[in-house]
Amino acid sequence: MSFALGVLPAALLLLGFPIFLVLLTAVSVALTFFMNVPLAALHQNVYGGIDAFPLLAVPFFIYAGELMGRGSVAARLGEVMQAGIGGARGSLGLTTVGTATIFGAISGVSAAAVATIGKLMLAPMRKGGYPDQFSAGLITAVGAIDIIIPPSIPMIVYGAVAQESVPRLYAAGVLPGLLIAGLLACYVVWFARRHGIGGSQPFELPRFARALARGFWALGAPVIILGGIYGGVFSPTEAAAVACVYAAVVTRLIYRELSLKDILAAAQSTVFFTAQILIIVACASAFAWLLTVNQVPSAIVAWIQSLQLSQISVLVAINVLLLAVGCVLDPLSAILLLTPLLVPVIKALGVDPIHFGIIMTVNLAIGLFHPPLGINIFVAQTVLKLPVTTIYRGIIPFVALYLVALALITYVPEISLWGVRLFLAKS
Amino acid sequence: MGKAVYGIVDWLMQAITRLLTGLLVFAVLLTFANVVARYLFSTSIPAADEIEIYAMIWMTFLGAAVVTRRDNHLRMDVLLTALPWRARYVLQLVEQVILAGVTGFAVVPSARYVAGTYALGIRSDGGQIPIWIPHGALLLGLGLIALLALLRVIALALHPEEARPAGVPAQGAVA
Repeated sequence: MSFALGVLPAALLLLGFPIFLVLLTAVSVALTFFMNVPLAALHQNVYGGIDAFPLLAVPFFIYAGELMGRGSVAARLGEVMQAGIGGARGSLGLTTVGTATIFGAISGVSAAAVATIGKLMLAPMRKGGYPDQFSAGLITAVGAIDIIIPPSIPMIVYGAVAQESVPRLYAAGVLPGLLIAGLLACYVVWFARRHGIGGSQPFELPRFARALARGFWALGAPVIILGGIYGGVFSPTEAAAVACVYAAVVTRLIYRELSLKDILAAAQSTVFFTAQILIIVACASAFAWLLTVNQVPSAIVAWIQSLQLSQISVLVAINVLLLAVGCVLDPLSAILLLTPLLVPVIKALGVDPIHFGIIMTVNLAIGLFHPPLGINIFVAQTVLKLPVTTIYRGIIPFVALYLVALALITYVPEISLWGVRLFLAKS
Repeated sequence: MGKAVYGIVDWLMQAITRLLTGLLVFAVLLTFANVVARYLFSTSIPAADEIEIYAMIWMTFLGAAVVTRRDNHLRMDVLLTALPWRARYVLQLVEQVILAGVTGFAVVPSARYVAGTYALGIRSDGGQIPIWIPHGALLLGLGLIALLALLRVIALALHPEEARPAGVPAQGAVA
């Protein structure tokens, strides 16, 4: 059985086979050669993996992000941020961080944020005196905030696999996301001071009011999504659907930027993204069932307990594992493969699974831009048209900042759990 | 011959893509309408949740067939892109053979399950929808993937130059 559950999937994964095929092959081999279970279990578990209402939020949030990303929503958010920050030192860098953070509250797709913010901010930052290396590093790194600030697609998938509440995960993600944005902002200001980079136009109330008026509808999206969820008005799935309709109305009827054809094109690319993700969710569900009936998670828990390690040392080991995995595997696949194994371990150690969901998301967010293979590096390379070595060099300080944030988030659970109490006090 | 077959396949994939795009828009509007109905009319659309989930299931399994045709599934391709051309070619051939074999194998219990639910006339709790309809998406999706993989095996065997070039990672949903 260890062949079907360990050796075979590991080998196929390393050989670059599609992840859903790796999982489906492992389950098929186990059922055929090592278990006495009717083959109908294969169909039932693959199908059952996505027969869940909360997962509908995945395509809906992707669609809302696609629609918002195709129009000028990010540009308008950027204008509001820039006008609000005014002439403070490092204002353009701060605008980049702020815009990415607010954009993160609309879209849960990190690569889209890097592409959108990159197109928007590189030229002004260059004009403002920022070296390309710094700008590229900042733009590539800020995108990772988008999967930590709700709505977050990885958190929906973690919630489905770990059977945890998505609204609680979303509430837990707010402060860690803001903590990372704050650390990045501090570094931007320090860098600007050190290199004598000034601010842009000073704050002027009329300019800020104009930007606010232009960005009013764009700013409405995060208010509807987060306000709707935490106000108890919608479930995350419903909030996602409302966000889609809102995005379509704003970009089509108010801003008049997208045609009906564009709206359908966004839906089409959402369908492809959805199929890419949910086919893995379906097969991972069958694989997780296989692990459970063969008592693999409980064996791992027993083994770790026998080592008599402290909670902190296990979390250090898990962080190292997740960082390594995040460098070679996308966050959703990593969550689907590792959650069934790790959640029983951390529960046995007394770690809150909501807190762990945030630890996992932050770890895998770092993998999105960690050299040499973070996908956001290649997105940035395409959009910014800069040599990959420039991006690599620019990213290093930001990786260090994210690691500081990760350490704080891991060892101070209150950073995550305080948000749950604050936003979901009634539940 | 090959071109004609792929012409039909691509026509089919395009038709499926259009159908699934329509299903997504429909699911969004249905969810939205359900929220509006709840707050404005204190009622809800019967079986809306069920229909939306079934739409997502169709999007997933039939969409996976389209993604297979586009050779765009998520994978960890660090090692694959570093390999010399011949090794990559052999691996791709092996991958497609396994893909055809495993999905073809999974079609069998799936077909039995769907046939069973059809024969028994089992319906969903909320909307009384025959459950062979959503379950059929898995059967159809796996069947199409098996067929596409088989075609790819033939194409790769006859035209090795069609092997995926190095440095072409699967794009898309990396969140």
